[in-house]
Amino acid sequence: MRELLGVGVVALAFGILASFASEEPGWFALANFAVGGVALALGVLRGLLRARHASAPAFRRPLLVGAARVLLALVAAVALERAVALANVRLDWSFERKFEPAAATLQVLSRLCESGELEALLFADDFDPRRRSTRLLLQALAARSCLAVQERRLGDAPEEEERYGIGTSNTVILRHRADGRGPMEELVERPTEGALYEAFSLIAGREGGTLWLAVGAGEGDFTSGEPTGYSGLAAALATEGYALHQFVGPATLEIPDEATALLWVAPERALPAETLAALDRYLARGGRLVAFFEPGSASGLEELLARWGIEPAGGVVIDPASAPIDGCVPGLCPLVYSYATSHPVAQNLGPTRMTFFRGARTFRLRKPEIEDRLEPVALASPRSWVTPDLDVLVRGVVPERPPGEPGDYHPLVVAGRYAREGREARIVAFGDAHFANNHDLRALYNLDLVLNAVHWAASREAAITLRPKVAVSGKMQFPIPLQNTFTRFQSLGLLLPELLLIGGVLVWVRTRSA
Amino acid sequence: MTAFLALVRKELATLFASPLAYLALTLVMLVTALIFFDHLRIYNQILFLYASSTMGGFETDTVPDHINVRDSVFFPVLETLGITLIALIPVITMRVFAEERARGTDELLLTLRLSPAQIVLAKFAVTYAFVLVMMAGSFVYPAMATLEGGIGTEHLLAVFVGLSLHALGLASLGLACSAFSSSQLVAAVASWAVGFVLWDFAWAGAFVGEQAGRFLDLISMHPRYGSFAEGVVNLEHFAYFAGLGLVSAALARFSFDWRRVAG
Amino acid sequence: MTENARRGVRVEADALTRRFGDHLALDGVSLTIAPGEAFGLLGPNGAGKTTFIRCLTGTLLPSGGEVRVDGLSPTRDPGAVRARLGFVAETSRLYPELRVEGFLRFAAGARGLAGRARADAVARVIERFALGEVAKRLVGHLSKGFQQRVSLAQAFVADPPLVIVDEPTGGLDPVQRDEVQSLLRSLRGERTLLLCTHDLEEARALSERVAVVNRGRLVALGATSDVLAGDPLALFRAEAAA
Repeated sequence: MRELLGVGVVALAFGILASFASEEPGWFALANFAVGGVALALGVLRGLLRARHASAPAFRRPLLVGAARVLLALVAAVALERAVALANVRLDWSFERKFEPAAATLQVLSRLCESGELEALLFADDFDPRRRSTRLLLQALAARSCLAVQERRLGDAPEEEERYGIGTSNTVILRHRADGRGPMEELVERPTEGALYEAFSLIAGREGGTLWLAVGAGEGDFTSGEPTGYSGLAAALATEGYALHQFVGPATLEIPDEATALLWVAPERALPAETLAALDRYLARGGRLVAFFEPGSASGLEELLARWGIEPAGGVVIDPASAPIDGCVPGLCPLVYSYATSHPVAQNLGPTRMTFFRGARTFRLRKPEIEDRLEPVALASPRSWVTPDLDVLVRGVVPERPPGEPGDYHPLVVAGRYAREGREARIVAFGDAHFANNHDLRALYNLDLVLNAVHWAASREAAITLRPKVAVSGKMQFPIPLQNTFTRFQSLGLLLPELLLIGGVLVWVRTRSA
Repeated sequence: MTAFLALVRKELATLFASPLAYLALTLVMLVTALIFFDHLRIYNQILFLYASSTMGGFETDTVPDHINVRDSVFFPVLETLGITLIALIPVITMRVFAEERARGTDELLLTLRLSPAQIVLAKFAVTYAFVLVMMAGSFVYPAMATLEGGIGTEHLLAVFVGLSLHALGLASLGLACSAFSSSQLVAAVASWAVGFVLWDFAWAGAFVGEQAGRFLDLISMHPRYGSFAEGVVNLEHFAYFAGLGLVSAALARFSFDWRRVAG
Repeated sequence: MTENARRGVRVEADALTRRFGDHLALDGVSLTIAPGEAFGLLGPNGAGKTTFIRCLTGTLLPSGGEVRVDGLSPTRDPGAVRARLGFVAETSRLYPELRVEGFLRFAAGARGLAGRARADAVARVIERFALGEVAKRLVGHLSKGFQQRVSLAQAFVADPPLVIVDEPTGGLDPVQRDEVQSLLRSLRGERTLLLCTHDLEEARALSERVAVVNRGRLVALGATSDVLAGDPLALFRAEAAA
């Protein structure tokens, strides 16, 4: 019996080794599996026969009880594992926390699941290190929704790859089947949660209305992909379900009520009085406006908003709590962690979900009418103060705080609600236009604040949420200082094992000597 | 309880009276430190190459996504150590039961006031404790290095948890193999064989269908702890390794029944 | 010495049988050992003596028949039986990496003694078996004679009512053999003593009654002087078992 078992084990081992060596099992592996299987089966059979022949009845009960114990342990182990798997408890200790789906992602998944079936196909090479990360991400989403996940090894299904246009490993195809509509598919080549969220949103086809984007007076360019452009904001708004319509402000005499909301991004030139009057009438009819200002701008929009109680103050906000990001001069780039979290625009933001401004102005609030509600939404730190010197932004030098100048929570984003003619007008004003450009939109939680402001202005509070971050956090791509770690390597990495080995040698010598 | 604790103390004394224990501790600590330091050094070099060639520094999107601490350091450490432990753990577990059988001291134990279940429990507990101490010691240096860097300490903890579970799982298998042998060499070889087979069933992919393949994935160890490299601590995997320990302990307990029957 | 030990326990074997595959190691052996008796189990090598002892201690299951210690079955009540016995194996089965004192502390602890009681028990057996001079030495560094004494000491540390000694002087030189036999003689009368040996002189010196097994069968049972009178070697020959 033992000879057969021994031969069987060796043959199986070599069969497995041969299988590891090549993708397709060759004759050698197959032959070894066959020989090993037969030998093991014969050996076990022979052992059982011999045991049955030679065993006394007195042995059967203890052996059966012992075997039953093992079987019970096996059943308990499987049951425990399945029960815990069903509970799906997982802790995301990753630095980026990228396996905790954002509220926005769950919301759009919920919508898609309500209207049909959703499937994700992951195409990846076996040895692509990104595969496990993507798999985990899809599993995290699948655990919280109806998403069904399948995997395909790249090259195993060439017809499918051809059909979907799969060009690289780690590509996900999202497929949604809804009643009364053909299947909708989206290809995601760099499947981060943000990219998947945008794809889900496109499939969901949310309709948010039409945003009117003002141009013609040096406003931000929504078609430009430059760092100073706003194409990123345009794409994000489209993901949120908005159609975008550009209108030439200086040539506009009347703004129609059909506009869901207006976006006015830092006009650099003076706006004609007719344009401002048209805007004023629009707001008075219950219109909605999201405006971005730069320090020192004087387009006429500032005076208009001042009549609505939101007066952009002069000067630049200097905040010691500044973000040391990407060339920012400390003090000139307020890192905001204080919010009016009771306001829908700022809900879910807080000290761990900060936003970042690059050269900002503050606002003074004064209600035009008693019933109007004006609130600061995002505030600089209590140590912030305002300098009237706009040149600090050019010089890049922060002035000394004047003696006696108190610090205060200077609002950088404000929101107002106004009851007018039986309707409600809403205005959100940002004291920094760079906040939403391509360079800074995706920094920290800037995107969420901008989009939530637009949703609030458009009375789409249900869409206010926190969105997944598209890019991997750069912090995990920081170097670890080599000199310090080399010192630790020698003192901890080498010294500890050395001491242990010395201990082992002493023990060995002691046991050998009389 | 008195008898059980006496056995636990004896097990600890015999474990640390053997040079093998110190050798195993040294090897695991050294291998971890060397692999970690080497990967860290290369990772830093690559980062600086990118930063200096693009003039973008580390703030902007100049470094490819796949160059990060997780993929360049944590994951390779986890993978390499995972295979290394398959080879090292049996060196510790091979003697636990097999040496008792070879010496004949298993009969001495059985004539003391110790039940087979207590003997199995005591030996498993001491071996698990030793393995955990070994893993904790091996992560002292990586932990201090990442603390210095200020990044990913929770993530590193997830990697440590994954590796420790893997080590405990291998220890369970090794103890079960040791329980059925009176030769330490046979116990070690059996542990290596079972460990490597259970490590990953990817080789079986060509022979089995999708369902069977998924089942094999569920019972193999490698897919289980890959998620720890990503920083995800999944309680399902805790349950898997706990189940492995439970079944191994039951098998070890059964070996006593078998010996009473077979002689 | 406890009252329990002073009385000793009764040992009964009733048609005890043990088979290893086709080989019949024990064939219907029946005997009784009275409480407090020093009983010798004799037989040639391979007769089944150790098999009998292993069935008695519970480390081996009988194929048939029954064995009882103080009315308890090692199969059904293994814990209770273990609490009543001390066992000295054929070859010293000790932990060479432990010190003598440490090993005896372990043996005492593993027999349920704790704290003061354990310390006292260890001190008592160290004195009784003259292990004072080697108490701090590693067991693996001791001579065979001292190892056998340590083996005996661990069997007696919890003062059990039944002590089984398998080949007590196997492999010892004459001086060591004499020392161990003196020790065993001094233990007679305190408790039930089962001595397993193939040495006739040793059996005469240490046992009140003996049983002789040959090829698994009981070929003689009775007072030592009666059984070993005449030609006791005849009992060891193969024909005796036929």
